[in-house]
Amino acid sequence: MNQISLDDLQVEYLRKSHDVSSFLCTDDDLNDFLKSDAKKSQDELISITYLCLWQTKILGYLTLVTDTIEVKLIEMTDGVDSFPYARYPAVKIARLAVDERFEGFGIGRFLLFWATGKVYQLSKEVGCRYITLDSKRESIGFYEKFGFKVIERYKNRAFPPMYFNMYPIVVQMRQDNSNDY
Amino acid sequence: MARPIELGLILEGEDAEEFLEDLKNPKKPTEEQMAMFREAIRICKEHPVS
Repeated sequence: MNQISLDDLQVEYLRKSHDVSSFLCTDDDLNDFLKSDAKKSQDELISITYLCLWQTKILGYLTLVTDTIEVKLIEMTDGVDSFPYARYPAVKIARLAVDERFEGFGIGRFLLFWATGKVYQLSKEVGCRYITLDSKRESIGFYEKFGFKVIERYKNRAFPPMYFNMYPIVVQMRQDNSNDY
Repeated sequence: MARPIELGLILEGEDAEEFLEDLKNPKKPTEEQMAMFREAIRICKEHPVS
C-alpha cells in the first residue's frame, strides 16, 4: 500500500450515512462498539464518535465522553485544606481503534494527538483539566511518554485506566506566551 | 453489544495521595511533553471535524 500522508486525513462525526461494516481492528469489542453501539450512544447524547478517513476509507475512530476523577482519602473532607473538590472534570477517550489494514501508518498516534487537541479546545469552553482513558497494555509506555499516569491500584486490569493532567502544560504555555494565548 | 463505557475514575490510597500532591506541586512538563502537546493542538486545528 502507498504511504498515507497524515495531512490528507479527515475527521468526521459518525453519521448514519457512513458505512462502518468493513471496519476491522484486532479487538472484537472495538469492532462491535463501532458497528452496533456507537451511533445509538451518540444519538442518546452519551458519547461522540469521530471517524478518521483517508479518501473514502475509514482508517480508525475514537469516542469521547465526559468523565470525572474522584479522589477518596479517609482524612479528606470536602472544602477543607487546599482541595475544594472531591471530583475533578475530565474527558475520556472511551474508544480508540485503528483498522488492522492501516496499522503502522501512525494513525493511532494521530488519533491520540487529535483527541488531546480537541479536549484542550473544549477546555476553553467548559472546565476540564484531565484526559482519562483505559489503555491497552502494550500502549502504556507511549501514553506515559505523553504524560499519562497509570493507576497503580488498577494496573493489573486488562485495560488499565490512566489520566493526563493538562494544567501544568497550559501554565507553561501561558508563561511561554504561546500563540494560543 | 460491546462492553459499556466505564465512567468515573476513583482514586484511593497512594493513587489519591499522588494525585493530590500533583495538584499541590505540579511537576514541570518535559520539553518532549510540551512539544507533543503543541503538536496535538496543531493537528486538531488542521483537521477540523466535518
